Amino acid sequence: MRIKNFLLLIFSSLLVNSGFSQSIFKGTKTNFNTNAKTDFNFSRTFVTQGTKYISSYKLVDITDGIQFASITIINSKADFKITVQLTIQTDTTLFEISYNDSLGSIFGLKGTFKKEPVNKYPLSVAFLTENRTYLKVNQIIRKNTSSPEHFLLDRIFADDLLVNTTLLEKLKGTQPTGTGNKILVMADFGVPNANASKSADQKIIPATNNSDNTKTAITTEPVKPIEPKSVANPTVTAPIEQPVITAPAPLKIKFTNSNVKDFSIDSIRTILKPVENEIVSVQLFINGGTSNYTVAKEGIEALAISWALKSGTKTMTAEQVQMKMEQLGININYSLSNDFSVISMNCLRNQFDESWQLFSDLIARSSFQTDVFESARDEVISSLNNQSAFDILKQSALSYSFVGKQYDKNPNGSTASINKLTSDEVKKHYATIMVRRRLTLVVCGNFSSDDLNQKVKTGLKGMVNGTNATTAIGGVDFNGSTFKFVSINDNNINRIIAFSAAPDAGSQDELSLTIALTILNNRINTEVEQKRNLTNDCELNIVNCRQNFCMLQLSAADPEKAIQAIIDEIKKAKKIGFAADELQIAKDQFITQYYLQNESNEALALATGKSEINDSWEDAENLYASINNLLLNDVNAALRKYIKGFRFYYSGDKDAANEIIFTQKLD
Amino acid sequence: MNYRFFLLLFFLPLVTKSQVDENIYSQNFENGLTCIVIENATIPLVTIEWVVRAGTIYETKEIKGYASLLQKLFFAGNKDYPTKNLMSQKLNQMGAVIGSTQSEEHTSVYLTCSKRNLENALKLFLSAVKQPLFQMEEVDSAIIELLNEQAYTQGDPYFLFDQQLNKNLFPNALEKKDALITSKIASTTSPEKLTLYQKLFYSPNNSCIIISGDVNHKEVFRKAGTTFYALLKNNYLPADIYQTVAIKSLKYTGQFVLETPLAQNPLLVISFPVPDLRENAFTSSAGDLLEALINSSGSSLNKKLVAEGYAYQISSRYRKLKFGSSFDFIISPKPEKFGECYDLARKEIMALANFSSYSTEQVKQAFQLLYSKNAFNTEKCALYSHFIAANWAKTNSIPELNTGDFSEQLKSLNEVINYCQLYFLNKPFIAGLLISPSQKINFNSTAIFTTTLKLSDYTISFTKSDDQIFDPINKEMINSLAQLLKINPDLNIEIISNQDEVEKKETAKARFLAVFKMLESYGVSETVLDAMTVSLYIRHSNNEEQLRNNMTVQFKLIMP
Repeated sequence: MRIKNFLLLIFSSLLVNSGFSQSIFKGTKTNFNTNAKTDFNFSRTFVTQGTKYISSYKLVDITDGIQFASITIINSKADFKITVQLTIQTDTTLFEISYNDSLGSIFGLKGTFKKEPVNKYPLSVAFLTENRTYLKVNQIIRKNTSSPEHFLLDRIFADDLLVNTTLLEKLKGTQPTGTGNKILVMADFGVPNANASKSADQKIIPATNNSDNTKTAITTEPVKPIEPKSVANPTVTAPIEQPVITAPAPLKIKFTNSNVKDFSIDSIRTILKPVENEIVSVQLFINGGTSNYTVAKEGIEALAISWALKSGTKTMTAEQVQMKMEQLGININYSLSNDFSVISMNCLRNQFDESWQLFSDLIARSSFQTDVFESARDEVISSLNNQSAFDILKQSALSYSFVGKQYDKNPNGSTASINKLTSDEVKKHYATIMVRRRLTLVVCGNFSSDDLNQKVKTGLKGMVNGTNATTAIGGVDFNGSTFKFVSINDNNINRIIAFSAAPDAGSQDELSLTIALTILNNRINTEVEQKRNLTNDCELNIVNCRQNFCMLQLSAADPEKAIQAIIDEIKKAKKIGFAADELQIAKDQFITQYYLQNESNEALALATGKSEINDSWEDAENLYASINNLLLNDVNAALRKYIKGFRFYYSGDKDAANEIIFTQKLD
Repeated sequence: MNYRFFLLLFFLPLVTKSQVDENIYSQNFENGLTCIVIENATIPLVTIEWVVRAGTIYETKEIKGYASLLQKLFFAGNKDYPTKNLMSQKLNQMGAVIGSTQSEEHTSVYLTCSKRNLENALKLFLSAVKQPLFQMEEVDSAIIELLNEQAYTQGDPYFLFDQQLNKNLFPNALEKKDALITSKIASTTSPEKLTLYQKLFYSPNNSCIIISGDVNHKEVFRKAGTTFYALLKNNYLPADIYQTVAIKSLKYTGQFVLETPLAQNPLLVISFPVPDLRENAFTSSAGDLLEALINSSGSSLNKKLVAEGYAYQISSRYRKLKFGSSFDFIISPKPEKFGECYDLARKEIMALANFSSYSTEQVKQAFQLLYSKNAFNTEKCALYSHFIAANWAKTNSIPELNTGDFSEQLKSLNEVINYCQLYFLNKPFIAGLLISPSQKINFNSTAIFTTTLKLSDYTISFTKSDDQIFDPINKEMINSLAQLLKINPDLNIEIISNQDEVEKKETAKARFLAVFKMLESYGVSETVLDAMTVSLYIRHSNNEEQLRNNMTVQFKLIMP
């Protein structure tokens, strides 16, 4: 595994307005140790929230499409505070980040600029010259406990901070003073021509290989990741002890006022949502989902988890485990998706210690009793019978749309695939996935971070670090409409499922489109369902997953008429847009429905974890404010931008579905 | 005790405020309306629940089912939103979700919406309470809905069983326990009549509004005070007008069998009347703990009945009410061992009045069950609101969770034992058996019990000069009486044997002996039979009916 030491340079265009805008730019990052350059894309989002100006940068590696870093700058006009939050998405669990404070006192002395620690790991400084704000991130990376390695990670100069005129007015002309401090100029950041950055047209400044880039860094040996010894021959019952590296959690890019605590416990990403009631919900997310196995091994993760949970532990037989669970009144369940698997437990706060002990013993020290394997297999196969006709059609639709991608696999597997799995390969799979680097633990309960920290440390002691999950998403074209007949009708019901494009999870566009679709669903309900009675179960929603897409689902006696009526509503909405009162109603409806569904600790923990897997837990925390701040223009724009075509999948009377109706243009 | 009760003092004429828990506040407005606020900012929603003391217990024959009807019509139109459609549109615009809860003693309607819409929601409640419009179309539709729901309920064997249990436990209050609207009442319902009763039941001094969610109590009190200020206090409360029948205590133990093909598994329920909340709210915590003690796996009943193979399962149910409370032991008996199961259950229930029936582990488990019950009741805001709504209607108080330490647990156990001594030990009860005809064959025919009657309803009729018992109806009646005597061995009864003056001498004596022998043959112990007072009468008759009455054996309870 490579650690991405890089130099990046961002020049943002002057996208300063009170609304929202986003552009995609191209940049270059430099591996600091090798000077190797690679291209990356970065997008910049600028939003205002009350008196706050928030710029978010998302940095995506061109070669693998994976986001490797994010930077958020929050400029609060109300309290003259600039917060810089930086997240390195990859490989963070291997090293410790600490803050190089050499520049930190510049504005601290003035009392007008406050460095804001982010999750206890401050890492950035900001400083101002006459009319420009520069941000520089210095970091020391430590490999385990050996000598530190310095490198210059990032340089940004961000024109958008100019919008905080009040702050700038106050600071303008002030010369930061202090021993060892100086006003930095562009050259300090390796920018050959500082004036170039003033051009609003210039959106990319390639990173130079200027030796200045490296002058602030002490280059040493490249940081080598610690390879888990047990990966080649994983064993679950007796995991090989790894030197556990205490690492901070990746820092988050989004601002939130929530009470959620986000930290790392022996490299296990942990999110604690404190609530004041006596129920505790534990959700252990295993990253990767269907990317963790091939099509031939579909169902292997379900069987692995089922087997682990049905077995005993090192100290208890399976029967004793069941009795203990009954005594504690807990159930340990699991569910699967294309992006992750999750093992969950709900228990009482005053029995958490015992419950967690049992949970963690099963997760980390399951005995994988051989006599339980076949009953676990039967259980997984029998759960396949619970799938509805729509579930089956959806699975077919996913395998057609996402062929060769992560979502073309069925996490539940099939009877055939599950029957072929051997106990050895299932156990091996479990050893691969149940590793610190793939886990995100979400706990919703009445805890302090310290309480939880200790319990998790002890409970999951001995678990190996393992390797990160690799996901392969992207590359599905939703621009035009297509139609595919999947199967004949079942009980004379014609079922339709269709996919279309959707914004990235966690983006502003996602919220805009969510509300747009809420309004659209209201219109479809009135016009297509109630007035014309063409369907009674139509839903068009964002699926909300890592590779986001929208899904339309309905059954209809006359599919052509129903689809035509729905398309007419979409066309009308795209052409004319929605009304302001519709927007407000949809916001209220969405908020009530969403939070009613996510009221219990279990649902809250699931929503938080899912949000984190998709993008960031702050998305779930900020949802209420973000929804309320949406503007009509954004909502209308999102519908036009993303709903350009549907990939239709149809199960029903073949003669009742004319492909031409389905594949007509939506504009 | 594990609950502490806080009186809300809502009868005081002035505004009173109090904080009843860390996040629960209450205020009583001048017009008598109680306002309770539960602050919980976990999610940005607010639930508003309007609860009234209305239910079958407050209803007369003429308005039976009105609590349900008014509840259904709450969001069905008012002066501001005259039709149900307009009201639905308004609710839809607010993104609101509505619902209702109900018992025989309370009725509530609630609405959940974004916290942004709190004021709109309060106004909606004001319109619904202050100026409801009962348009006949909406009323008819609500009645049909109600009758359909009732028809569905009547297909539920457990509902039918509870009805029968209430009839036996509270014979003089049966009507008050029967929630069903009849088509006759439905046909006489008019908007005027509904308005009259709505004003009475939904008056502020018979209501409580509970506002829970992401709110600040001070702001809520201010807004609620401003909104509901205009509601006028009623001079009478429903409880004043429709005074509930004082529920008489049982004089002796009774049994009933409900045989219905709807029954899925045989069920034996042994039910004891216990104090009502209006009489002694504080004994309810002992009842709660006892319920948890019985429901814990380590209970003595569980050990004796389930572990030793007489029953599949045993649990308890404390029906904690303002009027007509009971403590029920619910047993799934093994049919082939029913007789032993029934005898053993009674014996073990009596033993609950001893310390030796409880283990430390069981007490610990019971407290954990109570903790768990409260934890789940308080996890979701709306659920907590419903929990408080029902409690307010029954007790005027808000329960607070307190798991208690060990010394407190012991103290509580003392109260439980005291409770069992007072209300179970040698006290009359009602035993009910729910069974389907097909299951009956699995039972030991001599063990299965029969329905018993009120003592005064036992009349053995003879034909002229006849002093033997041949009639199967008479045999069945004596069998039932024998069972009554067996389960009430201390009953002091008088057996009255009659003969008409036209009949031959000593017929009355012969009739008595025939009954006596048959009772003996049905297993009534000699001691019980010997304790009976016997009276022989020779009576005069003027007509056929009197003659028939004079050829009977009857029974009478001799009060101690």
